[in-house]
Amino acid sequence: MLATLLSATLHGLQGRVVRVEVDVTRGLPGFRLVGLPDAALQEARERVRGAVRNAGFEYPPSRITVNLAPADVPKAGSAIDLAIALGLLIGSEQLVARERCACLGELALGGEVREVPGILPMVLELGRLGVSRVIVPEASVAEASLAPGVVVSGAATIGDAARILRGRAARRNVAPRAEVVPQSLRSGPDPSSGGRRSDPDVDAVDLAEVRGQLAGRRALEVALAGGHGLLLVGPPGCGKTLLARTIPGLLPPFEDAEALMATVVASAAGLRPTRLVRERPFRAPHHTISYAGMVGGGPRLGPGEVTMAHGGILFLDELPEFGRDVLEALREPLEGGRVVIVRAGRAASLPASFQLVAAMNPCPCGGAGGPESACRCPEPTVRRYAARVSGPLRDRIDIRVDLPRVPPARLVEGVEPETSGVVGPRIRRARSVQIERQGRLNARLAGRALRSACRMQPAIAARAVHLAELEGFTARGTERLLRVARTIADLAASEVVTAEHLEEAAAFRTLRPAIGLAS
Amino acid sequence: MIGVGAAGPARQPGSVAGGAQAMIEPDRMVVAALAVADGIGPRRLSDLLGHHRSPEALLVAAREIRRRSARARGRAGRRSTVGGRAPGAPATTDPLVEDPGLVPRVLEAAAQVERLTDAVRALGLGVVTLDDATYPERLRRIDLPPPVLFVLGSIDALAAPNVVAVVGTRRPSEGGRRAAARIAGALARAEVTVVSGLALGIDGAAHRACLDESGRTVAVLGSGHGVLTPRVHRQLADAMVGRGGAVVSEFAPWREAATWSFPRRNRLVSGLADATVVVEAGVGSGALITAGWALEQGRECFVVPGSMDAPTAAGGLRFLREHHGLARIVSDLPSLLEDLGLGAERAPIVVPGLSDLGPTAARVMERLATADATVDEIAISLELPTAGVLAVLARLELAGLAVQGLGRYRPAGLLATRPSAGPAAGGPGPAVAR
Repeated sequence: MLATLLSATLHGLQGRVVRVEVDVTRGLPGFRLVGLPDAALQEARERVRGAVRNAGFEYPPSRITVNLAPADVPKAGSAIDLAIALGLLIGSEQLVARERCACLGELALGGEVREVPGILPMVLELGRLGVSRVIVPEASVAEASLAPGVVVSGAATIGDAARILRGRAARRNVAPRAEVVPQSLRSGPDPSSGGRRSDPDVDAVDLAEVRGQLAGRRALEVALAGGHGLLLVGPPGCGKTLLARTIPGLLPPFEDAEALMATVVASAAGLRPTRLVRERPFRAPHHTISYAGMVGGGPRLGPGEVTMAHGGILFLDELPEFGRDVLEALREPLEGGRVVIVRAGRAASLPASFQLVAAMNPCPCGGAGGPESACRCPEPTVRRYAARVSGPLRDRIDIRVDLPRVPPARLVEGVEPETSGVVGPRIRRARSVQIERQGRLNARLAGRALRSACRMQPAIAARAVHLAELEGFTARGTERLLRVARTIADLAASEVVTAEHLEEAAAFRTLRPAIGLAS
Repeated sequence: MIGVGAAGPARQPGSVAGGAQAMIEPDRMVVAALAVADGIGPRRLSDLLGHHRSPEALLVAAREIRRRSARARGRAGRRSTVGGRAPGAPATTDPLVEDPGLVPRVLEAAAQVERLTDAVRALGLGVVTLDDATYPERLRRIDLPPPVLFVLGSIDALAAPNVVAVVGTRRPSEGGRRAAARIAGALARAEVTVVSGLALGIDGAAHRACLDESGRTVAVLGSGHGVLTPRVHRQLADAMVGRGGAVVSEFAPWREAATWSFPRRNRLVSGLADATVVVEAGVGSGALITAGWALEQGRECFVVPGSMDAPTAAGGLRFLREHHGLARIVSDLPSLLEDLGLGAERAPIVVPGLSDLGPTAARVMERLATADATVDEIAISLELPTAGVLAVLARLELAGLAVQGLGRYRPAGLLATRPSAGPAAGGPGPAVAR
């Protein structure tokens, strides 16, 4: 007998609906799986057999053919296991389905239903195509419930799933929380969810813990307020990394639409979100990261760091130590806010609009800037080191700040640094001013739009030309100057850009020698 | 408004001046036809128009004189009346009477009015005469300004507070091209209208750089609009017009470019601008004619110098030598802008008057002059906001009074050498404020 069920696979960040057709007929016992399954899926045969038996059902001694439609699209992952097993039960007449629902989940040999990455995008896609009820692994119910308009039922075992299909299971609709009802996608931000981090590995540092480094603190504030790429240059131990780790506590939470996208990314990355992700991501990959790790890839075309940082921060510590191809790979997302992965004839375009924050030593040994002649790097080495941060990357860095070694403690003592609770709202206000004025952050402004946003008096515009001299008089340098000045003006709640704003922006210019000038 | 490129219909066969283009008044077109006619110079045209009430009256008078002279010839063939004052005519100094040779030329011009009107309309040109308020003020002040300008685009671009001409050879070096682009770009950013001749080489580079910076730029043609020369710059010209600039010519739309027309055009290039910058010019380059005109017209003239051995620099260098004390040298971009008066606030910074940088800057300099310091040290010891300190330090860096390395600011220039600044600056040890 033929049974047909709906399931889904993940392609990039996009769920793809798969129709699972299971035909159980008399004939030589055997199991054939067709429809371009990948290796993980090919092994579904073994999992399904074990799971069906151990869950107390009979594995039919028949000829079993499973077709995954559409047949010409490659399918990956194990989310289809459950649908195959249930189709097998229906086909062998052990189960009569009264409910129509799609099924997602991987099977354990004991018959348990296991979680898979990407439940949310798959349920979203099923919902979009009009499926009203989905069976998901028990552990993924919360995640799947984030999709609007789909009734989600959790199944811990094949038996549970079978009961749901028979229509015998109590309709255990998850109690809608403020965060999970569909309307929340249109309502204002939920106060209960803001501010808390989902990733406990990274502790947000409060800005008050950063002593001194006034220029660095200010540069960070301006960068976050305008979405500008930021480069921190300083000797080891001067507090670059500490400063960067204050970022999560300073960024405003996601708005609803962005939050859903961030949750989809988290789901596809296997982070198993249980509620809408409100916190902007702060990704800090190690410099040994591979190309695929950065841009994404793998059989499911899974997201890489650039996509996981979407809407948030990609922090690259020890910037010149990253592989050249890895840095080069940042070019595309930095320009277009998306990254396209192509693997064996398949392609996926993933969102990757992040703000770049990078840190580096002034020289390979890190001794520069310390006590006299502490740096023993030969000059060509230093130059090569600095040159690794090249072209496209440098163009996307609007703000550079040089951090000196921590000043003597007694100087900083008695000066109470501002806390994140003071600086954060300032950043938030400046960002909302920009969104209101031009629909995007200042970092994404250029050309005529930038000039008109600056609203400079002619004399001030002439001043900008002079200051651009420090940037080597390039058109890029001038634009960078104006962008940053616009953000500084926004932080000061000023409608026009003044000479003072331009001058401060010029202090953050990117064109500087990597190492100190010989005196 | 006269100058705005008429959005009128392209060609309307046989149409007379209709409502669609009220700006093409018959009188204006008569003046234009007289201005572009052979044998009537600007001086004689102004005499003619000064004597007669209107261009129409001038034509009537010319026709009358011809008719009368024909009649006189018919009545008493013995005497060639031309040269004598017609009996009964008022004793005036009508140039038509003074110089009867003008009469056929005027009448010939009158016959061209219709052709000219059609051409102007077809090309969407504006016609600006000396009497118009929109006539460029700078050009009005030169000797013998052209009585009529044909304008494609916005003549307003020439009314900008600052207009600078950037000219040079048609066969520049790569460096010259770059220099032209940098200069024109910087001028555009300073909201200066850049004038040039639309020629290949430096002119084109200047126009293009100006467009890249979203600036307004104006070309003066050595031909009529209908036979725009060089043809390869047609798109460039369109782009200039599209971005609020203009293409200007004093020649009839059908007038082909000729060897004499370019030097004549150069007089307008310099005349439309406050200053002329020659980027690269070989010996005998037309750019030098423009430069010469600029000095003649009492305008500033700058020359970008080059190597003694470079043929593209030879003309400019010779010009500098021959006009010692008049033509100025472009040493670098900021000082050019300063010399053009575009960086008014820069001058006080360069001048040793250190207090001109503002009270905050004075305190920061005082602190820096004792020893180098980080932003923290300055801000905390002087109790100043970080943003303000950063701004002042950038100001000092621009003025060459401080340099930054690895987060430490050190005194430079005057600040480092000022004897009154206490201990000699530049000592190696890190400075610590008490």
